[in-house]
This record gives sequence, C-alpha cells and structure tokens, in this order.
Amino acid sequence: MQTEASWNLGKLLTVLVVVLTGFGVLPLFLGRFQVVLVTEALILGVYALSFDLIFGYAGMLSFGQSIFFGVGAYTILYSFKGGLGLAVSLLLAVFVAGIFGLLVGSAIVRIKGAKFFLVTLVGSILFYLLALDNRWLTGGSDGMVVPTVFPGLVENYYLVLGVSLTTILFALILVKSPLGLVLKMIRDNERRAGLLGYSLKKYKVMTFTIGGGIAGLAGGLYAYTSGFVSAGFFHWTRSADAVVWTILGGAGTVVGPFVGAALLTVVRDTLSAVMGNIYPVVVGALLVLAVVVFPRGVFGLLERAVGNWKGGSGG
Amino acid sequence: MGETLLEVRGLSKRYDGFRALKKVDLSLQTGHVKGIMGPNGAGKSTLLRLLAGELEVTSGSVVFAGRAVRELSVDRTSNLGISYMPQRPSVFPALTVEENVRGAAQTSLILNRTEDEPSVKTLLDLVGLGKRARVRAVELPFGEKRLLDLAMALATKPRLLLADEPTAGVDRGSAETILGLLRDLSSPDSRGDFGLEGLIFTEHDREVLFEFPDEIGFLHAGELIVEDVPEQVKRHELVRNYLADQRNFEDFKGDGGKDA
Repeated sequence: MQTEASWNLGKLLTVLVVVLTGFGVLPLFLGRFQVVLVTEALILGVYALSFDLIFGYAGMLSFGQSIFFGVGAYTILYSFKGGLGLAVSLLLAVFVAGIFGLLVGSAIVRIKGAKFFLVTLVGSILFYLLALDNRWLTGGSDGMVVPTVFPGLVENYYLVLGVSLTTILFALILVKSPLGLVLKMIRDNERRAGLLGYSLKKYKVMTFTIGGGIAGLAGGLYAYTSGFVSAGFFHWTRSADAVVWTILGGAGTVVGPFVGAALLTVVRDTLSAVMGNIYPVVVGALLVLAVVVFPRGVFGLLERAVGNWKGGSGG
Repeated sequence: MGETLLEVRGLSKRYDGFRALKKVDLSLQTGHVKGIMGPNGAGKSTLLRLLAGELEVTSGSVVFAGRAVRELSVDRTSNLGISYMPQRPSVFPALTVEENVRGAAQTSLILNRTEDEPSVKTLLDLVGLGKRARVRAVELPFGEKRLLDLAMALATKPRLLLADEPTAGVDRGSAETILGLLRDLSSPDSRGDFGLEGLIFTEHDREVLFEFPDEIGFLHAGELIVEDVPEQVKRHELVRNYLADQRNFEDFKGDGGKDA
C-alpha cells in the first residue's frame, strides 16, 4: 500500500494537464449560476485547505478557522474602502489573518485533546458575538457592502482559479518540504518529535499562522466575489464546514479539501432546491460513511482509482 | 579522556507524594558506557527521562558538558546533544521508515552541528533497515521498530545517548544488531559518523548488562545503591539477591514455557 510512491511524474503531469484544461474551458459549458457555484466551491476549497494544514498535517482539530475567514473578509472590505487595489488587498487579508493566526495559535498551543477542540470552538463563537455586537465596525448581521466594481463573473472565476492553483502549489511544496515532514511527525507522535529536538510550540504556532493566512485569503476572495460581508462570516458553523469538507474530501491531502468543499457545495445547492432542510442529514450520513468506509476521504478513493488505472507498476 | 560528560547531583523526582527517585548522584566520563539495572519500578526510566528533559526535576542538578541543563525543555536538551530512546517503540506510524529517519536527521542539519547532511541511507544500512525504507513504520514488527527507534535516536547526532531497555522484548537477531551498534558506536576506536561520547542504558538482561559497560549502577526503590565497575557491583549483597531472584524467575519462566 504505497499509494503516494506510485504517483510518478508522468502520471502527475497527465492529471495536471487534464485538470487545467478542464477548469480552463469550464465556463464555456456552464450557465451564469453554475459559474458562480464553481467559483464559490473553489474559494471554499482554499478555506478547507487552510484547515487541513492545521488538522490533516499538524494534527490539531481546531474549530476556530472561521475567525481567520472573517478577519480576511473584513480586511478586504476596509482595504477597498481605503482605496487599495485587489492584489494588495488580498495580500493584506493574508497578512492580517496570518497575524491573528499567530496570536490565537500562541494563546492556545499548549492546550491538548478535547480541551483544544472546545477552546477553539468557544473562540470561534466569541469572535462571532464580537462581530455581531460591534455594528459600527462590522455592520452586524445585516453586514456591509464591499465597495468594488466587478469585472464580470467569468473574469472572477479565472481570478479565483488562479489563486486556488497558486495556493495548491504552495501547499504541495510546503507539505513535501522539511517543514511539512516536521508537521506530519507532530501529527503522528508529538512526544517523539519533541524528543528528537523539535519545539512543538514553535511549529504549531507556525502552522496556525500559515493556516490563518490562507483562511484569510479565502475569506477575502469570498467577500470580494459576493460583494458583501457580515458577522455571519465569523459564525462557528463555518468552522464546522471546514472540518466536514476536509474529512469528507480527505484529510492530510492537498486536493482532498477541494473535493470535499466542491462536493458539498453542489449537494447543498441541489438539495435545498429540491427538498429544503434535508441537507444536514445528508451531510451527516456522508460523514459517517467517510469515517467508516473510506477514511482517506473521497480523494483517497480517487487516488486509488487513478493509481490502478495508470499504474500496475506502482505496487 | 578523563573529562566529565555528565554530572548529576542529588537528583530527586516526586510524583504526587510518591518519591520515584531519591537524591541520586551519578557521573559519566567522556567515552564511557554506563549500564543501569534494578527491579521494575526502581526508577530507571524516571532517571533517563529526567536527564532527557522530558520530566520536570523536583530537586538536584544536572550538568552536561559543563552546562546546567536541569531547567531546559525536552527539545532544547535534545538540541544540546542528549538523545533519549524511549522504553517502548515510539515511531511515526503513518510515515515511511525513510521519512522517520529523515525527519530525525533534519534536526541535526537545522542545528548545523554537522558539516554535511547526515546520510539517511547510511543510518538505515547501519541498523539493517535499508531494504525497508519505503515501508510504513506502523507495519514493522516489534524488533524492527526498535531498530528504527535507535536509528532515529542516532540521527540527531547526539553526544550522549540514553537508551531505555533497548533490547527488551526484541527478537534475538534485532537485539544483536542493537547491542553490536551500541558497543561499536561507544568504543573510541570505531566511532565513525555516528559515534557517541557517552552512553547510558537500562537493561533487565544481566548477561547483556555485564558485557560491555565501564560502570554499572544499581537502582532500588529510587535509590542508587551502588555505582562501580561491573566486578564490584556483582559483589554487592543487594545486587546478588536481585540477580538470584531474576535467575529463579527466569528458570520458572523457562519451565512454564516447556509445559505449554
């Protein structure tokens, strides 16, 4: 069972070309609504990936990811209000959310296990309540309009596609790097990682900073493409979304979170149109299925299928 | 030679009122090997874990290569060159054997203690896991997990290795490899890349224990009863009793095995 080793370069390139071409020509075949849907799915994939770095790679089950999503979204709002351009604003969203990641991470890094999960959840709720109460800053639940001129839905799609691919590339390089190996070691066996000389605190805070920055990027893109921000961006269910998408798509893989986010975005939209409030039930069932039947997520299944199809030599 | 690598004075550890270690004095000269023996619960692991910085010292001092290390965290202690091989296998299960060792070797590289990259392959071949490089650690049998544990402990290029029962429960072949390596790496004439300036290990098996250490310490109920060259330690009354008990126990175990 060496799935990863069976991914040789040729196979990788084939997949890359297929995916790039597919996503490149996609808008030609889709209606306006579907383009918006795919754009949203990609942004949420970036968001889920930010959580996966923290959970799937460094092993911290955090329910606080919506904090950084919200911070990124409001950074974009105020950056636009201050007259800054899109590129600078997105970088600013990464930076500010990254700082929040650093601060939150430093505050909670020593907490372990179930307590860690609870503290991050409470933190998530706290930020939501703060955002709800400080209407002067956030517009509360009514939110605020992001002052920007849209170049068009398809242009937005390509922008988001570009940012997503860049983020994926960054994440792939990160998890294959020596730093990525340290994160996996901490996930697998904290004690031994410490005994071998790695400062758990340092590497965990670093992961929270990077994860925070990427979540901020996703929040910023979401605010920009939807033209609207509200306190709801901070809501803790958004943290739960990232957890669900990542586990369903495949934790500890870079592409898995995108698969999970895309799948559930489509499922949610389709179901809510057909039969209203059945979505949570379906998600619950899928999640149980994922944990029990395919613990490496949907991406794990896909990977194995592709491995069998191309490989044989892989083993 | 003749320099002190490790100097321990009045080292004590208390867990919720239970005194696991009582005012232990112990020193290790550079180039020496020390074996620690004693019954279960005597405080052998506690001693090593205190030295590794994994447990908080209740009182006493630990000086390593002229530096007080008592207050240092486990990772800082490791970075200074004290490597601890835990009592039970402690590997990174989802990672391959090669990744386990590479991850451990990275620390010495990051610290720049070595000029060139410590060769992961050299280490794997050293412990005989060269052919198992791509296997996930979780799939290794017990003995090979211990070999991997040792390879990782060595990969940080430690000056002092603390090996906690390195051969307990290990198959004969792997145990021979582990002991052979420990002997080679700690002997001044055949050190090579991963040579040690000092080695302290705990052990149950008396044959192994009296084989190659320069000194042996006997721990009993948290106290270091005697610490001397093997010949002297063997003569101590408590040690003789302990060894006799152990022999009886092993005979008993042996009979049990035949019956089954």
